[in-house]
Amino acid sequence: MTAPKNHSDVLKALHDNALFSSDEIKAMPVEMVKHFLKEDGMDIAKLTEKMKRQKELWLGSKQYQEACATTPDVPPAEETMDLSAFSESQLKAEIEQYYKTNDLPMAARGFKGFHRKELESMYRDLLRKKPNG
Amino acid sequence: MAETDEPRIFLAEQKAGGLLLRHDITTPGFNIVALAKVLKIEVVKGGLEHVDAWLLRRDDGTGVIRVSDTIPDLNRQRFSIAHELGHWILHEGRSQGYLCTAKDLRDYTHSPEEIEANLFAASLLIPRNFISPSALTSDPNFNEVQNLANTCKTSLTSAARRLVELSKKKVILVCSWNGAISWFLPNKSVPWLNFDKRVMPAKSMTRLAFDQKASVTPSQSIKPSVWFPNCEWDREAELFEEVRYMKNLGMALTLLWLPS
Repeated sequence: MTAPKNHSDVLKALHDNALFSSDEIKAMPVEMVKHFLKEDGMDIAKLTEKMKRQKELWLGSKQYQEACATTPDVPPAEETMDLSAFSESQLKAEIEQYYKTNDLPMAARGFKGFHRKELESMYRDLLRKKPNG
Repeated sequence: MAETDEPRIFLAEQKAGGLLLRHDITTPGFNIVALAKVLKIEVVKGGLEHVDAWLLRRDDGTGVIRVSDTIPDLNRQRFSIAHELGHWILHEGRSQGYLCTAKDLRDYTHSPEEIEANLFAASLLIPRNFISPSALTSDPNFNEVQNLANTCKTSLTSAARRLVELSKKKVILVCSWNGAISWFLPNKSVPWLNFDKRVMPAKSMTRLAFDQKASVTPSQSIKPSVWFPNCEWDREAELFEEVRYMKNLGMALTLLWLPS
């Protein structure tokens, strides 16, 4: 029998050579499987670490691909949301309140000097309800 | 980070590379809005007047990047988004918001945070492996810079900086505003090329480009002493100068390089 090279080969070899049934392999103590693998040159710790990294990479790639499928590369134009009922001072007060509530300093430069257009944008970005929020 | 701190150049490049690696992004011109979405950041356009882009952190751990719709060039919009992603990743916990002007997006000399965000953006949009080896070994020129900017869908300035940074040639990139040198970047082959003063040489092609508002000035051989009068040069020595003047920004980029 040729020596199997990886985890699945080892399990397949164990199974194919009728040394163990599938159920027996499943029931086999982890340490015993580790022993088989180690004898075959497998380092379980390294394998686990490598598989963990692969999984992270796969998940990251999947997330990005899924986002690509639903997101244009160019930012979408600003959505319309009527804020005409708010005065400028109300918008400022709401934004200030947002930061006070969160106890985080607004280090951004002088937003109080913004034109109405920018105050509305900031209000939308910080305080509007998200579709899934 | 105090304003006197040095920008963390290597960290910016490392973080950008890590982000690409984690999401298995291997092609130039990738979808940066999708990448932002993965990081729980919404990207929107328009509704800005004083700033070119901002990043706001919400209290639920999500963020918003807003870019101005007055930035006509889509590649510059992408660079602005990448810049804000740099703030998101490199400057967590420092500020609830980063409101970045056009000047911040070109800052390579003053605010360490803005410099880091710019370096992050350039590394994210133009990682080393996106640049062909031939581009790094051929004579520097703006056609190559423009090709790189187009391929990676980024600004001309960031492409020029990246190419000069990594070039094998003796090259220096100069950025000028309103006729004065704003910043310069010598590559590692010529760290000794420096400017004592930030005054643009009267006989330079760059000066001429400003005076004539000429957008393209092809590469020309000039005496190195025009730009570097305090260095000792052989009589035969020559320096090549090529200029791109951007009238709408009042800015010029100049490539200066010494032939091998």
